[in-house]
Amino acid sequence: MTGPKEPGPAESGLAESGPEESGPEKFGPGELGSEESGPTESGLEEPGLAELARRQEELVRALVAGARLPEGFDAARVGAAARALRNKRFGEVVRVWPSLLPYRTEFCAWAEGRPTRGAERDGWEFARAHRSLLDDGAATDLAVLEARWRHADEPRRRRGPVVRRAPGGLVLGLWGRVRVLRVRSG
Amino acid sequence: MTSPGVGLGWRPPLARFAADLPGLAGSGFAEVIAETLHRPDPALLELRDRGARIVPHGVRLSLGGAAPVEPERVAHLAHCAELLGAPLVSEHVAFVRAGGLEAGHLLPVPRSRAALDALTRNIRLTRAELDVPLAVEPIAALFDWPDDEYTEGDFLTELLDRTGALLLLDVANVYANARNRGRDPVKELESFPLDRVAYCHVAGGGEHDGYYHDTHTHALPEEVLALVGEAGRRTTAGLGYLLERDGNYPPAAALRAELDAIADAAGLARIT
Repeated sequence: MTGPKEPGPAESGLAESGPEESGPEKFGPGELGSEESGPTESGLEEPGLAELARRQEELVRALVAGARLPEGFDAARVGAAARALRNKRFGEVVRVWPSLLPYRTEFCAWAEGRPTRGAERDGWEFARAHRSLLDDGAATDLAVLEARWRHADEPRRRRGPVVRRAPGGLVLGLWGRVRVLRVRSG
Repeated sequence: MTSPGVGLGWRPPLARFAADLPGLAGSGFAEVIAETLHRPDPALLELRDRGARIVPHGVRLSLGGAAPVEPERVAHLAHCAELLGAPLVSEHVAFVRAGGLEAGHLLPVPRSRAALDALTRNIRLTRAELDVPLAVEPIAALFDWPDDEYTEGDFLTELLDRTGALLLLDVANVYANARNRGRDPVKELESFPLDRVAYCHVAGGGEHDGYYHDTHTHALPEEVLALVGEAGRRTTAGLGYLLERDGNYPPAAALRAELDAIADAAGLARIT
């Protein structure tokens, strides 16, 4: 999602910025493509393939879900690979949520042991967990997102009216359309 | 068969740069990530309409996964080939998901019979939907699986023998893997099945966190260019040598200089 459009020339009172039209269309497994089916569903009749599936799952869990590294792998090398994965993931988050750019270190620390749910969801979860850390731009983006989406395991778009705080003002939402209102001094 | 040329990995931030390259639609060629083509960029289609050869390159089919490759992903790759009038398509000798979790990047497969079986099955399933050849790219990885049964070269040769797929030779990956294991990149290169190269990748990288990373966001190291030269002496290289640059884009002049450096190292016509 891109940040809210900048308000126009300063006027006294509330300055309205444009409607937010960007952002994800949905959150959910669809973002990641179809779910991986388990061994019983994917026709793994050969024991060799079932064993391969098990070994691959163990490795992926070790890399992204904080699971124990399977026997025989070089821990230092796998650790470096896991860090590289988190950095790559951060790059993808920043592409859809540029205002999170200052938080590479915090994101990579937070992402350890937390498998990705897609770039938009990762950004959202990170931002929610670090509200006090966020600068005004990122905090406003979070408020805009949450004016449009109700956070849940499977987030739902909001329909009813919503008012949320944003730095220097408010975010108002109704029927998924959002306005950022900033208080102008003078 | 046309002679090899210099290529560019097409990305939206490079659309203007690509359109301005005099030789890209001539002796050159391009490649585009297949998963970005659900809404094709008009600038890419314009390049196609100018006669450029463009290869769709998949990154999420997970050919090396134990599970069968998903039909929708194969269909999409085939659709990309049709849309672009592509001479071939490519993917990776890798897996990207397991147990319902996305790894977020290409992971190496164990060099085992079981992995050969999985790759063979998935490559066959993919090729069944394609009217053009499939090339597969061995990846750079920081770690290996314990108890690999094959060397990388032997594994690839066996795989290509079984499936009829071609090799996408990523020179930067060969360099990265050799450097990170204290091996001679030329010896590693020579062990690959160089008689069936569809085309080659070239990319920059750098040292970080104790290892060399094939980042695609750094300048081409001299050693990678040198390996392009070595490859040029050992393979006909198919479509040619394609520069992959994914971000941290330098000024156009620097990018042109890199394309020229690749052309010169490989003894090919410059496309700038």
